[in-house]
Amino acid sequence: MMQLYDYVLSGSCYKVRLFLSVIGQDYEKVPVDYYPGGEHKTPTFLQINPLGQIPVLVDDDLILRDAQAILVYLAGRYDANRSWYPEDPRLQGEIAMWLSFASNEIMNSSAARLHDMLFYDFDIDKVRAAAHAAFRVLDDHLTDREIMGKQWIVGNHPTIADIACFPYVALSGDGGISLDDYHAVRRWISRVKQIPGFVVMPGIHHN
Amino acid sequence: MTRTTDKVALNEWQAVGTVEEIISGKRRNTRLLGQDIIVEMDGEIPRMFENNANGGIGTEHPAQALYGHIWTTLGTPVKAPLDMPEFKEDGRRLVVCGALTVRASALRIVENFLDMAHFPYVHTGILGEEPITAVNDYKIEIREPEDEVWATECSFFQPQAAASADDGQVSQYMYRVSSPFVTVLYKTCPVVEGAWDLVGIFVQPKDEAECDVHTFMLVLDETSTMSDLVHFQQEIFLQDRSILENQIPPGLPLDPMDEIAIKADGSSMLYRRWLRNKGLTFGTHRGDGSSQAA
Amino acid sequence: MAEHFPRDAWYAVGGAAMLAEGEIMPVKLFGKERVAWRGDDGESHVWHNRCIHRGMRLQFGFVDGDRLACRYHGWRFGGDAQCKKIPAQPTLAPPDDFRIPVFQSAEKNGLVWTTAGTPGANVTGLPDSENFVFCRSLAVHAPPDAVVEHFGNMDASITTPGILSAILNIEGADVPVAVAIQPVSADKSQIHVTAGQAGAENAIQPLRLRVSAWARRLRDTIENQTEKEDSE
Repeated sequence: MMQLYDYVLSGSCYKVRLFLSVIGQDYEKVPVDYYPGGEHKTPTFLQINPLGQIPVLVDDDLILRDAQAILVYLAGRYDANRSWYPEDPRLQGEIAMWLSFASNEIMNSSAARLHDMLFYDFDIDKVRAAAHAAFRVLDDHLTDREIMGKQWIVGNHPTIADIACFPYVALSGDGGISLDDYHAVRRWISRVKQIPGFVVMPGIHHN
Repeated sequence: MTRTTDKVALNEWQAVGTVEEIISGKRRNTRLLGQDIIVEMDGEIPRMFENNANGGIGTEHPAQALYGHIWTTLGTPVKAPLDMPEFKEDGRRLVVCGALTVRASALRIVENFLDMAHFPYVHTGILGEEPITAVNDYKIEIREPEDEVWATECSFFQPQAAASADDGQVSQYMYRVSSPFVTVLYKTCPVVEGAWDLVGIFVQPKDEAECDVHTFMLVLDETSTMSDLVHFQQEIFLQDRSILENQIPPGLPLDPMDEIAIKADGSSMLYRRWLRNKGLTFGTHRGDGSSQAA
Repeated sequence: MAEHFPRDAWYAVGGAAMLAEGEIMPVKLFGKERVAWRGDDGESHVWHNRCIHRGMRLQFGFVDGDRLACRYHGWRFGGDAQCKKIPAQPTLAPPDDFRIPVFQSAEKNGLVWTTAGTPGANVTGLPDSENFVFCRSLAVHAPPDAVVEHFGNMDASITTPGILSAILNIEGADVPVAVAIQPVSADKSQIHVTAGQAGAENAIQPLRLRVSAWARRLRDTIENQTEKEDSE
C-alpha cells in the first residue's frame, strides 16, 4: 500500500492527507518524529529524501518528495475524472502558478508558525509581512473570482491549487498572522471545509 | 519585559527544558518570568544562570534534573517539585513530547488542562464528540499538607482516548495541580486494566502571556511507537493552542465576577480561588490596567 | 479622528451578501473587537467578540441553525444573544444574565452597519441619488483621516460621517462611486466600495471588476503616501 511519511503538525503533510481523504484513497501513515526527535535529518531518513523534508510519498517503486509534486501525481494517477488536475493546458498552467505560490510566498506563514511554535530562527517581522503580502494577492484574486461568480482559485471546481494553498493560509493564526483583513480568503476557507471528505488538523476546525 | 517582582511566582520550581536536549551540548537560551536565562549541563549537573542584557552571564540559581526535565527557580522555593512515585514503577515508558510555545498566560493553559467540557469541541472525535457532552459530577479538594488542587472521580466518554485505543471508552480521570504552573492527570490506561497513565504539563512562564509548555506522558503501552505517542500528544496540545491564543483578556481573571462559571467548572473555580489565596499576580488579569488586557 | 468619525454614527462593516447564512465575520471598530454573523433565519447580528464563559473569541465559533456556538465549549447563543444551551450541563436552563453584549446593527444599501455609540434608530446609509451596487471591501493600512484627506483631493463630498461620494473617471467612463469608511483603529481603515448601477443587469459584473481594480490602486496609493509621510 501507498505510504506517506507524515508528521501530524506539518501543514505540508496535511496537504497530502487532505487530498488523499477527498479522493478516498487508502494509504499507510509512517509517523516521522520531526519534533523533538529531528528524525527527518537522520541518515536513515536522508536515504529516502536527501533534502531532509517531509512529506514523502512512496507508491510501489516511486518515491516522491514535495507536497505539490505529490498532489500532481496523485491527481493524475488516482482521480479517474481528472477534475482535480484537468488536462486542459491553460488550467494546468494556472494550477502550476498557484502550486508555486503555495510552495514559495505562502510558506512565509509556515516560517512564522515554526518560529512561534517550535523555536525556529526566522526574522519574524519579515516573514509575517511577506505572508501578509501573499495573502493580499490571494484575497484580491479571490475577490475578483467571486465577482465573476467563481468559487475556486482556478476553473469551475476545486483543484489541487486549492488543496496546496489551503493549509498554511488556514494555519496562519498559529504564526500570529490574522486573516481578519482577508474576507474573500476567509470565505474560500469556509468553502474548502465543505468539500466532501474534508479532514481537519490541529489549528484547523470544521465550519 | 523585565523579571517579575511577584514573589509567589518567583518562589516556585519551574521546568525550563528537557535533560535530553541540554545534555547533548545544546545550551538553552530562554526566559523565565521575564528574566532571560541560560540552562546548561556541567557533566551530569544542570546549571542555570541569568543572561544579562549586555550578553554577560549573571547570577547562578539552583537547578536540578527531575522527570526528564531541568528544573530551576529564581526565588526561594518553599516546596519541592511534585512527587510522582509512578516514575519508579517498572514497565512504564516516559515520553517527553518536547516544548511548544504558546502566546497565552500559564494560568489559562493550566486551567484548560483541567477542563473536560471542551473535549467534544476542541478534540472532536478523539477525546469527545457530540452528543455525549455532559460533564458528570466530580469531587474537588485542596489537599493538605501538600497544598495541591485535586479533582477526582472524573469521567468522560472518549472516541479515541489514547494512541493505543481502538474504540471509544469511558475514561476515568484524576487531576492534580501541584504549583500554579505544574499539573498532571491520571487517566484510565486502555492497555492494563485498573492502571493509570500519567500525562502532565510543566508550564514555563516566559512572560505574562507567553509560555513554553513541556509535556510528558508516563504510560503502560508496549506496542505504540515513540512517534505514535508523541504525535498523539502533540495533536491534542496543538488543538488547545489555537483556543488558548484566542482567549481575551490573555490574563486569567481571578475575580469570580469577571467570567461566568457553571458546576462543570468546579476545578477551574477551585484553581482560581487557590491562586487568589496565594496572592499570585503573574499571568492574572488585573482590573487596574497593569495586566495584559486586550 | 473625532471630527470625521463620531462614535455615534453608523458605520458600514461589510457587504451584506458577503455575510451569507452560516457565516461569521470578525469586525473591528475604533480598535474594539466585534463579531458579525448570520443565522439560517437570515438575521444578521453584531456582538462583542468574546464568550462570557472563558473569554474565547466568538469569531472562531460556528453557526448552528439560528444560533452562534462558541468553539471552546459549544455554548449556543440565540439571535437575542441569550445563552440557550450549555452542552457540559445539558439540564441547566441558562439564567437570563448569560448573554453576550450586543451592538446596534442593521442592513441597508447592501451593507451591514453598526456603531460604537447610540445613533438614531434609522441607518443613514448611502446618498439617495443613486442605486449603488456593492463592489468590494478592502483593508487600508492608513489612518481613517488619511483616507478622508485623500478623497478630499479628488473633490469627493461627505454628506454623512464616514461616507464619501464622487463621480470618478474609471477606465474612460464616469462612474458614481460611494465609499463607506470603517474606522478600524488609529492606523487602519477598511473601505467598502459601491458604485452607481450602470443600466443593464449584465453590466454589473464588469462594473464591479473595474471598480475593484480601481479600489486596489487607490489602496496602494493611500498606503504609499502614508508610508512616505511616516518616514519623513
